[in-house]
Amino acid sequence: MDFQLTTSHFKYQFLASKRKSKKIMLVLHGRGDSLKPFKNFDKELGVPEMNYLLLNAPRKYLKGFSWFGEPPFERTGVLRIRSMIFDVINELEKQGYKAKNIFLFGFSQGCLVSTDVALNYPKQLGGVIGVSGYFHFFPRWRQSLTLDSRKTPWIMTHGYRDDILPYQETKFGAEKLKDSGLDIEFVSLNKKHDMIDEEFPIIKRWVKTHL
Amino acid sequence: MVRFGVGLIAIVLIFISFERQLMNSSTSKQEESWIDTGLKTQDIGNFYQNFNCKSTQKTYLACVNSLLAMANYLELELKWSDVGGLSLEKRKSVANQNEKVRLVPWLKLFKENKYLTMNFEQVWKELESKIKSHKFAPYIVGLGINNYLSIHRDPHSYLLPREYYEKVVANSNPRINSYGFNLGKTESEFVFARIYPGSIFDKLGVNKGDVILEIDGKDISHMALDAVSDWLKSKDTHKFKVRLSNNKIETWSLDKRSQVLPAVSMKRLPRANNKNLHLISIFKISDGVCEATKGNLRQAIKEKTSGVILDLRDNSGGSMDEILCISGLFVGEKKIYDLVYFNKRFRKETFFSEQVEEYFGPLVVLVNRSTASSAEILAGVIQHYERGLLIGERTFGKGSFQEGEEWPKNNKLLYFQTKGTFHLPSGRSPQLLGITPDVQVTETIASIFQREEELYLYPVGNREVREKVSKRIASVQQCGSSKKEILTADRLLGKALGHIDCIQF
Repeated sequence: MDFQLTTSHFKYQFLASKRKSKKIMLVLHGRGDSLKPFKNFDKELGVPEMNYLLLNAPRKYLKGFSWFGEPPFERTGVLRIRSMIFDVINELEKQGYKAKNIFLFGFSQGCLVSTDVALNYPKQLGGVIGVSGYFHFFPRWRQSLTLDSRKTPWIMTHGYRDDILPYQETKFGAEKLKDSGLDIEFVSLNKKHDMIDEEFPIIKRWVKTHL
Repeated sequence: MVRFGVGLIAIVLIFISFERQLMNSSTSKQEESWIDTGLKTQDIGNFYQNFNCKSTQKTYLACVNSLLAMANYLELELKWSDVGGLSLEKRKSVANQNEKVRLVPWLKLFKENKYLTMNFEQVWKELESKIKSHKFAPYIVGLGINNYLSIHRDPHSYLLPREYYEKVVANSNPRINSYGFNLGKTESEFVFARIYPGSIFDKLGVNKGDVILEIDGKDISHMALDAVSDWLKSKDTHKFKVRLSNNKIETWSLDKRSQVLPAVSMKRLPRANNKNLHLISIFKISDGVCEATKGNLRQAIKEKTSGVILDLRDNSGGSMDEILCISGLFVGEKKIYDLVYFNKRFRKETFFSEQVEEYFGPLVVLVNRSTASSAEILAGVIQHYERGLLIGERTFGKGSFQEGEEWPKNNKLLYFQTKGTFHLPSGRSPQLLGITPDVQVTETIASIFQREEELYLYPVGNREVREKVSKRIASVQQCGSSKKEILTADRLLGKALGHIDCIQF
């Protein structure tokens, strides 16, 4: 495989597309997890024209990894990860992936990182897919939205029965984004804090329409 | 006399911007004092939070400002090109730019989204290897951290070695390895931009604005400002050829070792019009300044003074406690200032002077654009209570206060953090606005120093509250302006001599 990142921020794994393509999805796992469970993500999602870049969070947490520290260090941690992911996106752009063709997928804490990056990256991205996630809204977050970044499409899925990240809070956050003029689809599912088989086809269909 | 809160020292100082440090010929001592702190290049890496330089406009500019300052000290220049990215090059010209001007092109690059492709980590690695081998490495790291804080927090939050603070900044009679002047450059000549009262050149009768023609027998007119500054730092003795304001040319060989710079000094002015006037100069508000000023005032009264001119020009401020006492010497036991904290959990605190009035006679206060911080309180209070007449330029405009505490990561450093703004008895804060004197006169030599609003990109904000000019002050203004200006090399002092006749407080 001839794919390589020069930024040393993350451990990563690249899953090449079945068809030759310059579309790519960054896959960010949840807290306490790692990139390992996502090694078959390409087969599970089944979008043949998509490359995947699985990133591993940098901080050790329990048996897995975390993207940033616990409160009160969350704020600086989110800023730091934002800067690091910007570097990764920038490098992908250098390798010929247009910003418009770079998708962000995040589960739980990874979703928070994806949403933060999409809200602050000044260019339009391919799309944001947030599963069972939440947000970190900085003061005056709307000001960092640019005309281009407002065009990035979003989809978020969340379970009614989520016992870790309350359904109502995430829904409220998604509505805040919608009110700010973002193109966001919020899908409510009958699930707990996990990813279920039923949501792969939903995400697949959404990705296909936004390719 | 320094107020101790809960392990805190409340101090107000301005000391941060590196232009000031470059031009101040006394910096070698400061650089040495940083060595003991053992600050390492990793410490600044932590400050950048492992190169969190792209997350916001502020973190980006903070990184840039910090790299620019360190590179500049190493005589390098940080450059950007679309092809080569960020790079360090040998510095060609020395531009005396302040923070605000320096960052304009970098702000433009941010707006154009160029920052996304900048290789901060790589440039830092290159710079780091150069800093590590430099003898003043801890100072350069400190410079980097302070210039980062200037953007990321505010222009007046910074680190300072405890030793330097105690021995030099807070000391009223510090011994320093310095000639005691700031060097300035006009279009073609090097001038004395500021001469500390009591320093060698002050004793020799040199005035602000006098020209340095040669150093060690070499013509310096073609040289860059900081090259001359470095030259002055390199040895302990130099030969100066100076042109005084009366066009007389003097040559002196001077030794700068162990010079004492008193914070307060008094001069009896030559008798004129049957007037016996005293000039008291205060150049910083450090511990013991109140006692020294009190002594000087008593001396002046003993000598049957007919008026005191208080010179606060180029006074960069100092302790918030000391200023209570000094203000009291002139206005008595009155309200001096309020502290308003940014943190809404802390209530507004009001401070009164407990010092009885020492001097009741005519008083003129001289201020200029470098009169800053707690010196602005003194000037503002004297103006507010109509105790004296303010003459000169609108002041610097620093209305924020800092509290110094031990830096948790290194007990040899003090971290001065901006905690809020101070307000004069009228409710007005000098932040950005400064104090407008009753009689506005521009200095003969346009000051090379600039005000808060011109220097910094992210100063603390303020709202305007206007003060009225009373009838009494207005009559003195009118009377003074009708007098013929007394010609002296020092224009403000000349105005003061004219106006002091009209004062009957």
